[in-house]
Amino acid sequence: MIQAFINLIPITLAQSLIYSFVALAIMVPFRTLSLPDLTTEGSFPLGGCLAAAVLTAGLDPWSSMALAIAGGFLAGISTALIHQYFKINSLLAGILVATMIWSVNLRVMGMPNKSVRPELTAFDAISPEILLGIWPQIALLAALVGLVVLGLIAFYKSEVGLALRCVGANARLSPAIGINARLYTTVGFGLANGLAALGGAIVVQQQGYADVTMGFGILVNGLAALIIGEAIIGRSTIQRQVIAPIIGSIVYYQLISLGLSTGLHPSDLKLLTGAFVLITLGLPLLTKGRSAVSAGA
Amino acid sequence: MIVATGLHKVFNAGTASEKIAIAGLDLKVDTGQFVAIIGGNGAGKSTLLNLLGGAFLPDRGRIDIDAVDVTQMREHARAALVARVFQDPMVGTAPTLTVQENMTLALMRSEGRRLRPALTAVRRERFKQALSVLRLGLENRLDARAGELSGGQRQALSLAMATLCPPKLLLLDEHTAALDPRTSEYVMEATVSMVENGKLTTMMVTHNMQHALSYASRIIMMDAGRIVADIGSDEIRGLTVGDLVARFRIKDDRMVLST
Repeated sequence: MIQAFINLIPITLAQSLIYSFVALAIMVPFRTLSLPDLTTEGSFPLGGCLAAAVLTAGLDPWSSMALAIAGGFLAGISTALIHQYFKINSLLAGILVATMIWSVNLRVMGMPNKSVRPELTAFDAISPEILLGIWPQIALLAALVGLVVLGLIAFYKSEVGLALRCVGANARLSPAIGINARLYTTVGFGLANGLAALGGAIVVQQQGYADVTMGFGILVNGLAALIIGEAIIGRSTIQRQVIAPIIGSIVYYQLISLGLSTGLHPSDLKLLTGAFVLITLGLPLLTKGRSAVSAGA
Repeated sequence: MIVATGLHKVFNAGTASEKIAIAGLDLKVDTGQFVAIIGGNGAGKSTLLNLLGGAFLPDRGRIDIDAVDVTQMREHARAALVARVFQDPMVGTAPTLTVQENMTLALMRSEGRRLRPALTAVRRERFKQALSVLRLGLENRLDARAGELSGGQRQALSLAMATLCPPKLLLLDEHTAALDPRTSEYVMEATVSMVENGKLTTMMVTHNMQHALSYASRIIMMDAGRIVADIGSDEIRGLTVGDLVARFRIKDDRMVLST
């Protein structure tokens, strides 16, 4: 059983690198903007289904991925605009958008799933060798994730990024100090879901097919990954906050793989993941509550 | 010069809880004037500041700042002209950002924001200088998070942020009210020196009559959304807190208590 897990490590690693885009996409609204967003559950499959549709229609992989990112961006700003202009809770707005995207995905592909031949993919465009071995894929994905992480850190350290962080850090202060909080929130949501959609577009090319159900449960997985990552390296600096989702994703998917190969039933996975997220989010509050009580007494 | 003409602001219009906050207010404030706004609770003082700062838009009337019509300009756009220190020390700074990051945000209030590194050595030096004036040692704590500072320190930082790029109008909304008496005096003195150095046009809402008398060059008293008294600097000189209370028969307990 352990042998099965060890054999799966590289494949799981490649998978977790792709899913780290989802964890990043959850981190940006949740941590930076202090406004949780569930759109990822829709923007991730949207990116995948869009990419599959246009790749099979003959579009080159780079334009396809750009289109997928644009689709995710659009989904994100839809959620932000619904939240801000209709005064609908950001979580509900995200669920609405993600639900509507389901139908969009079926329309876009014209069928519930679609296979994408290897020679159509970006992997193949770079080198036909890559899809043959797992390690070249890991190297390529790691390079891409590294690039995105560096880009995001540089962005967070820029003037625009600082303003974005201010919107999440103090909503009342940001307009008084000249920041258009609505615009920043909207672009932040767009950026996050563009990343999720990029993840969807990559996973489709790596596994060779897109499926409308590919986003199911992706959010809780991403949230669990984010929380694990933050538990491991913290979020005290910009660097740690941006790298945490990546580390968390890598660890989380290995843990899942370990669980499955040691006899965990796949259908119990969601219950366990949910319970895990609940415990890690709830535990600090419970202990803090107790210490506050003892301090008061 | 700040000119407000015929300002009206009603909250919850047409409902049972309708509240006329500003009822036809005209005001001219000359450049460099330090105006203290006093009045009972619900007199419309804070609403007036919110209208001038752009947090609310007036139902009627017009606001000009240095001959620019800002009546419909939203708060974030108006922030290039107007800076503000809030009553709550938690509101004026971003707690999870460092002192340096907070100061950078203040710098970008007038300079705008671009995709270039926010923190630079040149800016750091400038912030050190601006903060050293406060004599709180904040210049040595540029990398501390604002949330780690005390209430007084945060309010002082907030003041430094508001005055870093001299605004056309500085709004102080009871900015010393949430502090203990000693810190309150300290922040008030820092305020006065910054206002004087920058020759800033300032409007300060306060319940502290002594502050109004000692520091303002003009005192405006509000009641029921209107200006009911306007005292110039010549008149202020001869007044005591007792005079002020007697003169306007101030019944607001809070105001009397804080003398």
